[in-house]
Amino acid sequence: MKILRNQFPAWHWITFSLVIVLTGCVTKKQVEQIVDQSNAEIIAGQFEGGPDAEEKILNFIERNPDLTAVNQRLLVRLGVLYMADSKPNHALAAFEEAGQIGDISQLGERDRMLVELRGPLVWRQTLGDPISDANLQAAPGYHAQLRQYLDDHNDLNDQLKAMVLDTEISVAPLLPTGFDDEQDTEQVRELRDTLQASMTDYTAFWGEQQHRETVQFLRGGSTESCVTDSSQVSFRNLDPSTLPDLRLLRFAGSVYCNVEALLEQHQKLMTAYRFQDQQSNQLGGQEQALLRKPLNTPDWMNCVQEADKTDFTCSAS
Amino acid sequence: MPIAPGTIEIGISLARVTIQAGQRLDRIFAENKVVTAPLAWPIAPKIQSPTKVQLKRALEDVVAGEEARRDAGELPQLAETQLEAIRNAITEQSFDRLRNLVHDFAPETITFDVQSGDAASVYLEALEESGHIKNMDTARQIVYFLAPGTDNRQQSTPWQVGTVLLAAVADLALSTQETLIKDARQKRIVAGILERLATLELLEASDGRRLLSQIVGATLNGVVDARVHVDPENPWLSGLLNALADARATQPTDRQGEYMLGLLRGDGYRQLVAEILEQGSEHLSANNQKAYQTALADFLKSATQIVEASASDSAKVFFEKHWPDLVRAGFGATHSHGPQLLEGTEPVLGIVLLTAFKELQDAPGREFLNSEMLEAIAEGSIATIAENPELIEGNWLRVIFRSYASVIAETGIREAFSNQALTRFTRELARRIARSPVLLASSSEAATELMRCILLSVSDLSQPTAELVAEAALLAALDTATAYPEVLLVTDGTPDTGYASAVAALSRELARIVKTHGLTALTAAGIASGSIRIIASSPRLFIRDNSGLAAEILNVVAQIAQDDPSKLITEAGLQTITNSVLRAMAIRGQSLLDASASKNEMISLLAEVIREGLKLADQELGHSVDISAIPKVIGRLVDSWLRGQLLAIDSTNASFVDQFRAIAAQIAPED
Repeated sequence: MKILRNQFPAWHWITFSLVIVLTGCVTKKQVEQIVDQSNAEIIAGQFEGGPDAEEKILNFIERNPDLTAVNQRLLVRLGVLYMADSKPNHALAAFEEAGQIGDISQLGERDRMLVELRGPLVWRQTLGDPISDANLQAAPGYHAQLRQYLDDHNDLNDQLKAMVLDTEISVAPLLPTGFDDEQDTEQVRELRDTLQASMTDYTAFWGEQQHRETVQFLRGGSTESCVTDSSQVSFRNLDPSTLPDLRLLRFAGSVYCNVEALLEQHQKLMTAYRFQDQQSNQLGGQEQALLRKPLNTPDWMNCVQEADKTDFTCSAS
Repeated sequence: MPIAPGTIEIGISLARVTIQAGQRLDRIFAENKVVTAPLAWPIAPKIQSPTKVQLKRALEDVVAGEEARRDAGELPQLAETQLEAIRNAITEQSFDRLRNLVHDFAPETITFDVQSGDAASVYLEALEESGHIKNMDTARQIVYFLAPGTDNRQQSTPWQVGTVLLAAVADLALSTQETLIKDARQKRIVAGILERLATLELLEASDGRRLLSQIVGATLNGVVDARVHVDPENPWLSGLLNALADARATQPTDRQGEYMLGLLRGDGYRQLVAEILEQGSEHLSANNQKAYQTALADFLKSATQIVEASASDSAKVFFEKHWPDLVRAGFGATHSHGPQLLEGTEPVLGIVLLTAFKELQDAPGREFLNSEMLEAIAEGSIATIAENPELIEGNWLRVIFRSYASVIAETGIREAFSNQALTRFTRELARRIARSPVLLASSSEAATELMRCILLSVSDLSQPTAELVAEAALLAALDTATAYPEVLLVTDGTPDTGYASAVAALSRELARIVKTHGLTALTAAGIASGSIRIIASSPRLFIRDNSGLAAEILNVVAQIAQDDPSKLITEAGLQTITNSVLRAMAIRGQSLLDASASKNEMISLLAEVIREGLKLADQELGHSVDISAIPKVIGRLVDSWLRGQLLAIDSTNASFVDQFRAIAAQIAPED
C-alpha cells in the first residue's frame, strides 16, 4: 500500500474520510459498482485524469482493511486498470500488494495467475514503440517465465491458457530481434529450439479440434491474417454451425497473425545472420543451412514464404 | 458422488449462522461478487520491428557505400563524425543506437510497424452483421473479459454447501432469509434438493456452485410462494426433483449443468413448485407419486431428444420456457381426474404432455401463448383424454393445440384483449370441450373457430365492453353448442361457420348496445345466453339462411326500447322481450319468410308491432297491465302477429286493443 498511497493525492483522503462518515455499510453494492466501473474503463481504455475506479478501489480498501479476500482481488483489478492506463510501476505495485496482504494460494485461478505472472504481463501490456535495448534484454527472461508457468500449470483453463500462450507467442519475436552477431552458432541453435518450442506449444493448443474450428472459422472469413479493419472480414457465406467460441475469440483471431510474425522475425534474423564460428564449433554447412530454414508449423496451417522476402502468408490447409 | 446428508446438515447450519450474523452476509456476497466477477483484459498492441542484425547490416551497407564513394573520389555524403558514430554503433551492437542511426541514414531500408487495431472488435462486428450474434453486449463481455476460473479458496464441502445456500437466498426477501434456513420443514426441502442434485464434483467447480445455487433458489422461491402448504415429506415435490435428476442423468456429463440451467429458465418452475406443494399436500394421494415421477422424467427425456434432433433453436426455446407449464397442467389434471392418468406402462399423462410439446413447439402462433394459456390448453386436453382415452389415437390433440395457437396468433385479438382475459377464455374453452363429448373430435376445431369469430367480432370495441360481452357470448355459445352439437356441423360432417357467424353478429350487436345504452354485463350475459340458445334451436332461419337475423332483431328491440318516451322497458324487460321475440321468430318466422315476405319487410313489420304495442302499453298501464308484464305482453303480441291473429297493427285500432287486453289478461303480474 505504501507505493499506492504515494500515488494517491492528499485531497482524495479527505474526500474518502467524509465518505466513511456519511455512508453506511453497503459492501456488496460498492464492490458491484467497482467491478462494473473498472471493467468499463479497461475496455474503453480512456483515462484522462486517471481512472475513476482507481479512487473507489483505494477508498474501499482503506475503509475495509479486514476484508482481505475482497481487497486482494480488488488490488488485482487495480493492477489491470493501471496496465490499461500504461502505468507499469503502479500496476506491479498493485499486483505485489495483492500477493502480500493475503495468502496467494487462496486467489482464484485467474487472479493468482495475474499476480504470479505480473512481471511479463505488465511488461508485455505496456511494451510500446519504439522497442528498446531494455525491452530486448528483458524479453528472454519473461519469455522463459511464461513458458515455465504453462509447464507448471497444465490444468489452467482454456481461456487463461490461451491468454498466456498469446502473450508468450507475442514476446517470442523479440528474441531474434535482440540477437546479435556476437552470439555463435550454438546460440543460434538454442534460439531456434526455444522459438520452435513456443511455436509447437502454441499451435498444439490451437490445433486441438474444438479450438482449431474457431481459428479456421475466423481465418476463413478474413482476407488477411492480421485483421485491422472491417473490410478484411466477412462471415456472410460461412456455415453458422461452425460458430467460434467467443471466450477465445480475441486470442483465436490472432493465431495465424502470430505464427506469421514469429516465422518472419526468425527469418529476418537468419537471412541477415552470418555464421562466424563454423570451424570452432565444427558445424558443417549442412547444419547451418538447416538452422536457416523457417520454423516448422503444423499440417493444419499452410505457411508459405514470399519469394525473395522474409514475409510469410499462412492459411487453412 | 452424492453428498452425504451429514455434510449437507453442517452446511445448512453454517449458512444459518452466517445469515444470522447480519453484516457478515453482506460481506460474503461482496466477496462472492469480486471472486466470481469477470475481469476486462486490455488489448496489447502488436509490434513488428527489424532485428538488431538487420539494422547492423543496413548500417554496414551505409558505411560500405560511403567508403566506396570516397575510394572513387566522389563527394562524401557523411561527415567523418557521422561515419565514426555508425562504425561504433555496429561494433557496440546497441539496438537503440542502431535503430536511431538507421532511422537517420537508411530509413528506406527498414520499416517499423505498430498495429494497434483491435481484431476482436472487427470479428465481432462481422459476426453481428452476418446474423451470427444477436446480443452484442453479451458477446462483447464474453470476448473481452477473463472469466475467474477455478475458485481456490480453502473451502470444506460444508462451507461450499453453505455458500451455495447463501447465494440461493440472496434473491429472496430479507424477511424470509433467516426463516428459510431456520425453519425445520424448509431446511429439509433444501437438504432434499442438495442430496438429489448436488455432487462433490459439482461443488468443487465455481460454475457448479452457481448452478446449484440457482436450482436451490428457484425451488425455494416456489416454496416461499406456497409457504403455508410446505411439507418436507411432500412426495410430489420429491417426484419433481427426482425426475429432474433422472432427466439430467441422461445427458452427457459435460452438458448436465447447461441442461439444468435451461430447465430452470423462466418463472414457470417457481410456479410449478408452489402448485405441487399446494395441491400435492392437500388433494393428492402419495401412492401415485412414483408413477408421476416416471411420467415426468419420461416426458423430459423424450422432449429433450426432440429438441436435440431439431434443426432450429425454436424447439429448445419453447421447451425451456414452457415445460413447467405443461407439467403444471399435467399435475392439475391429475388432481382433477384421478390417478388413471398415471396408470400403465405408458401413462396417458406422459403421452399427452409429449404430444402437446411436439405439436406446439412449431405451431404457428405458439410464441403468443403465455404460461397460463398453455397450462389451460394442456390441462383441458389432458382432462379430455382422461374422459375419452380413445381420442389419444387420432389427430384430435394436433387439431386442438394448433387451433388454439392460431386463435391467439390473431393480431386483432391480442391487441383487443388482455392476457388475463385471453387466458380465461382459453381455459373456459378447454374446460367445456373437455366436459362435453359432443364438442370433441370433428367439432373441436369448430369450437376454436367459434372463439375466434366471437373475439374478432367485438375486438374493435373499447374495453371493458368487448371483454364482458365476448366472455358472456363465448360461454353461452359453447354451452349451447354442447346442447345442440349439430350447429357446429353440416350434413357432410365438415365444420360449418354459420353458427359462429350468427353468434359473432349477435355478440357485436350486444356489445354495441352495452356501450351505447349502458346495459350491464349481467343483462348482456342473460341476453347472450337466451338468444344464442334460440339461434341454435332454429338453425335454418338463424344460421343457414340469415346468420345476421338474430342480431338485427336484437337491434330493433333495443332501439325501440331506447326511443320509447315512456321508458317502459327496463334492462330485465329488454332481455325478456328479446328472448320472447326471438323464440316466436324461431317457431314461426320461417313461415312468414316462406310466404314470400322479404327479410326487410318482416323486420319492418316486427318493429311496427313492438312500437305500437308499447304505445298501447303506456295507455293501458294501470288498466290492463302493470310495468312488469309489459315485456311478456309485447312478446306474446309478436307471437300473435306471426300467427296471423293481428288484423291491424295500430294502437288506436279496436281489434289491436282487444288483442292486447286479452294477452295481458293471461299474464299474471309478477311479485
